[in-house]
Amino acid sequence: MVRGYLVSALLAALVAAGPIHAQSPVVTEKSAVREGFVFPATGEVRVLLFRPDIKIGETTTAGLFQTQAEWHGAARSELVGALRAASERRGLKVSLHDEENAALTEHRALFRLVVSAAIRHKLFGRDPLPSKSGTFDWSLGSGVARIAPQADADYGLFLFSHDSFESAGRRAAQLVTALMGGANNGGAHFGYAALVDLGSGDILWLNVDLKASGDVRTPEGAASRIEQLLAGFPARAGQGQP
Amino acid sequence: MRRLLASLALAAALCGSALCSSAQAAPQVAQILPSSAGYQPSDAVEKGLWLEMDEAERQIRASKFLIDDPELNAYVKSVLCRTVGQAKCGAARIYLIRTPQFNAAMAPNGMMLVWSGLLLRARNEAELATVLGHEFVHFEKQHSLQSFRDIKAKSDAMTWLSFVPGGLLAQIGLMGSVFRFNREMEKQADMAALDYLGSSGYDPMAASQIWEQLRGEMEAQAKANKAIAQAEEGNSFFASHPNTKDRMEYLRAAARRKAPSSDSGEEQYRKAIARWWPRLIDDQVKLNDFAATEYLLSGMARGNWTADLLYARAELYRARGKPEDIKAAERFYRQSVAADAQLGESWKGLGLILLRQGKAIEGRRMLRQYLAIAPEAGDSAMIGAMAKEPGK
Amino acid sequence: MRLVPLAFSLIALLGAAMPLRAEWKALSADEDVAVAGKLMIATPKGGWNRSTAKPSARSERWTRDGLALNELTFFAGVAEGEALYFAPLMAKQDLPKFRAQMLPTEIVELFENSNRMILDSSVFAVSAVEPAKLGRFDGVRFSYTYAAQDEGLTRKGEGVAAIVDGKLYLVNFVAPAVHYFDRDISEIRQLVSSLKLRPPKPGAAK
Repeated sequence: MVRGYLVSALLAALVAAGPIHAQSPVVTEKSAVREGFVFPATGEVRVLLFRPDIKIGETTTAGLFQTQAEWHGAARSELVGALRAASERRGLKVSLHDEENAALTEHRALFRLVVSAAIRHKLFGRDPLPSKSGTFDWSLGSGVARIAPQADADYGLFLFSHDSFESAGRRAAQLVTALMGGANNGGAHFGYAALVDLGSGDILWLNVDLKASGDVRTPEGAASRIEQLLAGFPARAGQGQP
Repeated sequence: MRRLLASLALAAALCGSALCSSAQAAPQVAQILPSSAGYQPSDAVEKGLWLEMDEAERQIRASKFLIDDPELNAYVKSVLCRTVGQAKCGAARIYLIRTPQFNAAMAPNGMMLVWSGLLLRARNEAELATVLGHEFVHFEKQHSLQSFRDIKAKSDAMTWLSFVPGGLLAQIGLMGSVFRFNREMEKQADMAALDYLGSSGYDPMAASQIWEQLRGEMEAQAKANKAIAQAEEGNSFFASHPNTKDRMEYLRAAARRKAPSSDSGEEQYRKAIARWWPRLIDDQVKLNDFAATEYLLSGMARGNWTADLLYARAELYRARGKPEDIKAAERFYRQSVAADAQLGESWKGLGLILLRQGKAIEGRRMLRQYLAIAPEAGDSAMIGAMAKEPGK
Repeated sequence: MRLVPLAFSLIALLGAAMPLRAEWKALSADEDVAVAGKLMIATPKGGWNRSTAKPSARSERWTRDGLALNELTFFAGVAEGEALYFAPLMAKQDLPKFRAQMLPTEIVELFENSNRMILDSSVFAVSAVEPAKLGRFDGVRFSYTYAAQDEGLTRKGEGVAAIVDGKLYLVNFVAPAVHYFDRDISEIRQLVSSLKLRPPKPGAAK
């Protein structure tokens, strides 16, 4: 009873590929900060990094994605390490929240919906909601406080990165290329990062990078990826961009 | 949109059937079987598989579709353990999934998924043991890994699973499809599962019986709707288990060579799923799939229509709601309350069907019967209002 | 063996694969607005958007933050033999049909069963069914929870329905149980209780 979907979904996806090819999306905005948000001018900024969502693998000749377990391990430790270093430079105190509890699982699920909605209806201008014009006010609600009540942190950071290294140019890759507006850096590399207020649940900042670069399996690549994902990260009060 | 995302998560191309069925048994280096404790994946392909499966398992553990009733889980596990033996069954981690279709699958990392539609369809423990044993053999013999490697070797057109968020259906669809076994593997799993039935003392005839019933259900559906029949053939489970007639025959023949046993565990089975049965049949009735559900109910009754089965049948007819269905539903509800006067839901259904026919006075009386039995029901306020005599 | 091309997931992320492109129009706060074929008049608070894409010919859908986060659907004038929703692509079974003689609890069953099929989910439970008014007409209120296949979270919903002159009118609000449902439900209840139905005069041509 599943194949019906498979066929229809395949068709839907192929059909969808058409218009995407024809008119590349107008990327109007790839990140957003909640109106007026800055970190306090002084004092420690304590951030909890939720277990990052990482996919890494190889795009095979047929244009399909195969997970590579060893790359995955390398990417995870390099990205987390790079994030720590980048945070230190920004004067943030980051701790890793690696265990998945019920509160995190449900808020992570909600977060995915929120990010999808924000990307679709706000960033990139593809399907704008008029009520969101001039504002960025999505929230996960105050239930986020239950995720890590003991944690010594005021903010939560979600991180998502997807990397596929391709063996040859394929339809899937072409599709991605079109979505990215042209440049093909050998596979698909994209991700997003978001900062959440651990009291109110408000999304304070979201950055989506559809044309990321850098080989996240290496320290240098991971460092550059983290910088890309942290583009537009909120500043301290009274300061410019870090 | 939600629907589309779900579909996209499943979006996939089927490999050519020639490609799929061409897997040869890969030369096996002597190694620890995956059913033994401490087994670890050996190379990049297997490690990648395990990583994805572990991730899928993490999601399934948190899934809203998980039936987390500890008693029911323990029961299904105990059936597997009796079937394949205590020494081996520890390798399996069973997850019961609330989905009304017939399906079961086991991933190379030991995650075993059992859909609630299987629990509904199995009529006794031996039939459940047949399917659990079958999937366990695929796992034990590393069939998935073999076909995976083989296809990878034969073409680069392989692999799977993207990172689409959530995607429980995707994960299950993936398992039913990535691990598409060739006919020899299926037969091997069938025969080994039959051996398991024999060694654990279950009635060996159960193996052919469950397939026979499934075949019948598909045929009933096919008769009702040609298009449905085709879609049904596309069910991931059936698609990889073709030629049901053939298999029924070889299973029946092989079962005759086994020591006969009358232990099908029907009583235990009924008791074990009793608490879930109303929900399982409710899920099935609400699929709006009249022909298959009618066949299924008859297969369960086998001439002996209990109050529960009559209730389910009445609900099915009332839901379809053709004029002749209304009459039939009323009859089944009446038989149901006659068989068990404590079945509140049947009184409710009877009241509703009478009201539908304008028999208001009797209908309201039946609704009050329901309320007397189930005063705390979620719909008691509404039913109470409907049961009230006008002008009071 | 099935294969999942990687680009699909990116499409999913962007929501770029919508076959029907919806457009959204802002609704003014505290102003009356004609809804669902002008058969209902609603007075929303601020922040709502209405979609040009409809779940059926006789309905209309609103959202505040995105349909996955809050969805308010109005059905008006659903006639004998019609389904609540357009049939899903490649659907195996027909959706259940509305019947004018349906009893209040049967309307709830129609809603539940249609949604189970649309969502492909059996994790759907109706928790309370009680008498209620829709506009000035007697009807039924129901609350429910469900999980959709690909989301990993529970949603809560509440609907109010009535049959007027043999046609079904139904307003339904649904949102994730975490945060979004509770945030808006009292406002929604107020909106629904002040809703006016404008059924066509019996006998008038429709």
